[in-house]
Amino acid sequence: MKHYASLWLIVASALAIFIVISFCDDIVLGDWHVKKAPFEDAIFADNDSVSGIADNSPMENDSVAVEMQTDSVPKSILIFGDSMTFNLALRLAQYAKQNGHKIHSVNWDSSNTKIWAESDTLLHFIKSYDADFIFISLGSNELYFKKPESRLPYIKRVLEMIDTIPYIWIGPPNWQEDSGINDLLERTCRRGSFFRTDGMKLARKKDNIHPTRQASALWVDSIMRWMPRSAHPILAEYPSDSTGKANPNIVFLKALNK
Amino acid sequence: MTTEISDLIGSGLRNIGNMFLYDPSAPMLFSSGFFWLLFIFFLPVYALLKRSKAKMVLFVVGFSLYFYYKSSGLFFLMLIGTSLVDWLLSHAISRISGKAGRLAVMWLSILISLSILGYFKYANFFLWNWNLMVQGNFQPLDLILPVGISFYTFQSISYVVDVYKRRIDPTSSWLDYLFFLSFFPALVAGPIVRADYFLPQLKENRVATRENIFGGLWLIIIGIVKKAVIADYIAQYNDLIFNDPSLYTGLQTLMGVLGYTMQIYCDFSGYSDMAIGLALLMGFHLGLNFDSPYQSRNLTEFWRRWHISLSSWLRDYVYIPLGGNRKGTVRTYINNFLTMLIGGLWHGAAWKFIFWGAMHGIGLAVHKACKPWLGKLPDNWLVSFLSWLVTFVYVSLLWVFFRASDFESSVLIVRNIFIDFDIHQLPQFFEARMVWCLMMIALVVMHFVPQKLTDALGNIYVKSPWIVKLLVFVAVVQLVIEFMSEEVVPFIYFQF
Repeated sequence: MKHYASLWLIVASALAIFIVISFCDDIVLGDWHVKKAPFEDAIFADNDSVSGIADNSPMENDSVAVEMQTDSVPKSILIFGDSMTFNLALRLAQYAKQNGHKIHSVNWDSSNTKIWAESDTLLHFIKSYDADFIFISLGSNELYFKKPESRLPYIKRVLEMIDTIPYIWIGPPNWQEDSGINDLLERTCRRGSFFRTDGMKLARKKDNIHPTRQASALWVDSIMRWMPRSAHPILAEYPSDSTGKANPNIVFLKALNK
Repeated sequence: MTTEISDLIGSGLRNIGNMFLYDPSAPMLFSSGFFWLLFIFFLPVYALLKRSKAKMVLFVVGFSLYFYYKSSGLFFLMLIGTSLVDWLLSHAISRISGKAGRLAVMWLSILISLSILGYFKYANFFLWNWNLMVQGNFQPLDLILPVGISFYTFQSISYVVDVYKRRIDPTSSWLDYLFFLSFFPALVAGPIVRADYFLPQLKENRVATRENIFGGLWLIIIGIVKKAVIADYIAQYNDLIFNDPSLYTGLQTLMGVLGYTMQIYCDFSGYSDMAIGLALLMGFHLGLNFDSPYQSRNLTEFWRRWHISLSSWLRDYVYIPLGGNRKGTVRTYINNFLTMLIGGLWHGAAWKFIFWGAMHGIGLAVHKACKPWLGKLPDNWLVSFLSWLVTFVYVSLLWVFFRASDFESSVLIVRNIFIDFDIHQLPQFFEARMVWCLMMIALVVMHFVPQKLTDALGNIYVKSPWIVKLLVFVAVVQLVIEFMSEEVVPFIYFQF
């Protein structure tokens, strides 16, 4: 009986410790941010709503209700993100040439919101190119995470770095149903600043994942057609046949595993 | 303000209430917080009732049935029904004097148990295959597999057979039998407890010693680390490889295969450790279920160390009744093969499991056939190492077929390893997946730590002061929380 009491005290004390920590403010010990047991979420989560993390509802965020006036000033556009970026940049370069924008691209293979949020790479390139319009191509490497909401701090950090610069977050081109990253991005991005790619039929490369160059061009065309309904429309006239080839300035960052 | 607070309290109470209801998406596992919350209430009541066997049995049966309800919903009623039928038939067996009559009742009981298992687990598989043969228009039956049905069905069969063979007497009380069949530590994922091993312990109802209680807690801690920290973390990378092997290089694929080899061991043996530990702190021994299986130097030894409760069950209730090794060499091989085939099918209703079982059966037969020749080899480290290597590679390769979604993916994985392998990628792989690699290295080292050392560590824990026990427990739970939310980054785009 004595030993059972001792065991009970161990389990009960441990539980009490974790419950108390769960309701406390964040604990940081040096570089270690102590993670909490999800007691608070389990008890007080509002299960009737979709999620407690949304800033805006997806419906509202899809696009702005009234078309905004197009900003006719040529832009210094930066497109950055994962390996989808390269093909998107090729087509965007043609739009840039047609409309008088400058285009810069940073392609970081295998990257995700965490990698960009935890490095100063983005701030460096925003400053270097003096970017005043940004396209983000991230989320493809986070499509099937078990807990997509765990990416929220990284998404928010990326958006904080962008600050007041107008942007369009190009949603990942799903090849299977995602675990929620699209919804999370849509809820977190500024209204009219998230382009939902999910649902588009895109021809894929042999890996069945990356859209082909031609499909990527059509993908950009769709984004540009949607541009007037975005939060901050810029000049997005369809490239004429005479536009010809346009080479974007593309920076390739080192892939992490090959 | 008042409305907000009352809404918050209302929502909190509603959520707490929902936790007690069956949720198919969240079956109760020993590694879940909810289980430990319940365990805090279970433990003092159990300790108080332990001296009175009847009350203890009633309480544990009630808790076990609730545990099963949380995992499988209303199927707990089927468990009660199965146990009642088994118990009545076992008494019929013991009362009938004629052998033929006893045999008939035993087969009736086995048939009932296997029919239930067959319906829930194999009906769609057989219908699907039948449909392929006759080219019909197959609509799968809307069946939910009750959790742990494969485990408790084998337990019930062993009980009835043992009663028939007069190895044990049927329990005088139905509740005692229900206690055995529904005993929550072993209910959903084993070990497969044998009646002749367990029921005498129940009869004795020994009070758990200090060594039992804290030795049990130590086993639970080990199990939590294996299952909730290591297996669940390394699984994320392995899943990427197995879900789409065409995206990865040979080296990455090989790492995924090695990862899965360790994952399935940690997952299963970790859960077994938790079950054995829980039973031990309640004063019951369930026996050893895994004994460092990857140390094996041949396949026969592997099956003596891997999922021991299943392999010994298959030996005693399938292999030996089939004739074992008593009917000549060829029949021995056939019996071995058939036993492993059944073992494969027990793991799941799919051809891949049958193939996996068959290949193990063939491997065992080959090992038996080569035994006279192998016995002549010198007993030195080189032979030992090569024997270990061959066994490990064979077992790991067969896990590919066990885990991959289909045969084509399995072949692709094996092909990748042999065709697209470049050792120069290793440093980059290590750099990109450092935590995963360190975990794997630690795992391999732990696996080869001598049992004596592991036991000594357990003894130190048992004898340590209360505060040390608490700190270790808290540290392990925090480790689980830290890794629970860690997501492995897919890096699926490296081919671009």
